[in-house]
Amino acid sequence: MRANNPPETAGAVDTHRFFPAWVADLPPLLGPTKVPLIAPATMLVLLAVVMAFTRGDFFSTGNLRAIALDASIIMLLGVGMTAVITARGIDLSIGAILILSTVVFAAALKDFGLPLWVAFVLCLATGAACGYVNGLLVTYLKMPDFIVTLSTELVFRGLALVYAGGAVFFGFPDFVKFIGRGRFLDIPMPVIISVVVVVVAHILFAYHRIGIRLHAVGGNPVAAARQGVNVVRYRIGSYVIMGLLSAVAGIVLMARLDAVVASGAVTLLLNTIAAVIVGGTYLFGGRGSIVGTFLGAWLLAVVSNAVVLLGFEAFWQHVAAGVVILITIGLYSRRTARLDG
Amino acid sequence: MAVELRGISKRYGQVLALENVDFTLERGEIVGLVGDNGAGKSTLMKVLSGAVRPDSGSFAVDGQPVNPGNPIGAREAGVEMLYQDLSLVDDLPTVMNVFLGRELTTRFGFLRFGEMRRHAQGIVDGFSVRGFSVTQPVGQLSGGQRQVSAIARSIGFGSRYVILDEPTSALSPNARQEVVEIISGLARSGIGVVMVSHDLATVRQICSRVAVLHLGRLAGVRAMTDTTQQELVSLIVDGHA
Repeated sequence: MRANNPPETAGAVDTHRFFPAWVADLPPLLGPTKVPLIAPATMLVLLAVVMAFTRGDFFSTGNLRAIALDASIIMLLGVGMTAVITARGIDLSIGAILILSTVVFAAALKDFGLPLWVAFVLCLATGAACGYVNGLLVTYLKMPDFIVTLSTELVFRGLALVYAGGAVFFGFPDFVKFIGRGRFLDIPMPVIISVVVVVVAHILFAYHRIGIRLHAVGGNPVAAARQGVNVVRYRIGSYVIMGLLSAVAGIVLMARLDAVVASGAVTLLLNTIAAVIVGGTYLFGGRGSIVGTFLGAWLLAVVSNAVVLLGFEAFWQHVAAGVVILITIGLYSRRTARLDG
Repeated sequence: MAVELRGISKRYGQVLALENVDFTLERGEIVGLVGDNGAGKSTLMKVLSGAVRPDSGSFAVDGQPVNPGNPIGAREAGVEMLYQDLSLVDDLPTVMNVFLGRELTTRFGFLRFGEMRRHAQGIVDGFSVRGFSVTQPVGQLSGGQRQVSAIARSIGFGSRYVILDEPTSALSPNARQEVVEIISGLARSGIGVVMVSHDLATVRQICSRVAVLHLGRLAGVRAMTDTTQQELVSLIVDGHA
């Protein structure tokens, strides 16, 4: 028995056979919990191969750019939703937060004539504040997150409609349009922004104590609290991140369209949750993957793109997306059942 | 070198959960804490772990007074509590469970995973239970291995005393035997163990002393070599031998 003084060379059990010893010192590359990424990755590759054989222009630069643009908003929202769901929550108000934040941005710029940077700060602050309200209601008042965020969806969107009515804000400054339509090294700015957010989020999720604690809070909040983790702070924090990223996604969307309308962004919620779940994040908390969410967002974008390329009506996108989600979750469930023994 | 509780009393409304209870635990010994439901075992255990503040009495560890009712104070004094449910996060690997809330990180909060892994594996390898990797999720481990993971967390930070709440309940015979060996190993390494249990057979097998509570009072403390099963049952049921 050598309980308190572990030997320097301990750990023979999981020594890698094929890699140098230092590889064993790396944290798990894809995150602290085992998420079956093989399902969305397989579906994505299969679909891409089928499309490559069916339509020669699928892998053209223009088409890949269109797919990436399509996936970028869901990636941004998906990162926040992955954090919330991993911490055993859910946020149904993201569309409303996105809209309210961008209405605040547009109002600051157009109606109040404030400088651009102030409008950005107000927009991000609005998103974070909405997330904070959600977090407070869920944690301190111990209300079900489903009910809270369903209600705040109505409140936040209602506030946006009260201010803006049916008006459309448009004609934003060139810098704003650059965020939505500009390119850097021929890569669209929304793609760059979303990939940067995904990379930073993955690093925090997999290699930082924040990620470990977020998984613990979702997996077993009682155990996490007993080990000194501030469960309330982490849960509120996940909603604040969600709100902040909703505002960022709102800026990107507004910049792409060069317009804001208070009744918009109603379909983003389901697509975001679908991308997160297809990516292997467990709906009831404790198991999450930013890489999975990235794959899920791309999978949904490729499905939409395929429907258009194959000449179907746009409405078929919903049918195809639903079928692909079912197949992926089916694969995922079988894999999860094996993991759970 | 011991944990010492003197004259501990605790009342919940009309119910007197503990009345003037004395309890000591030396390093390197295993003391059983037994009693019927409602005898006060859980309350005494919570007083020891700092989760409950007694109405009166004193609490000292290795001669130093400990602020009662303060879990962090008890932990810093070297007393760790291991709950019956083990308080593990099933989806996280053992190494993350061991270091949860006390992660080794860089100054920017990034995990020093290699150090954590080696430290946790070193503790785990010290147990007699079938070896396993600390990078496996605890949800995939056997009952004994899960117990090892939880104990590794309790003793991995220099604790000298461990309170185990029903450590052998709901285990298969094999896993139970593994846990018995683990607890014996803890005592051999100099850690004092309080084993709260209904499992009299196991208590008699591994404890050197046993404290019996009855309706909140200490019915008796017996050296295991000086008592019988019959006497213990009488103390538990009637409060006297």
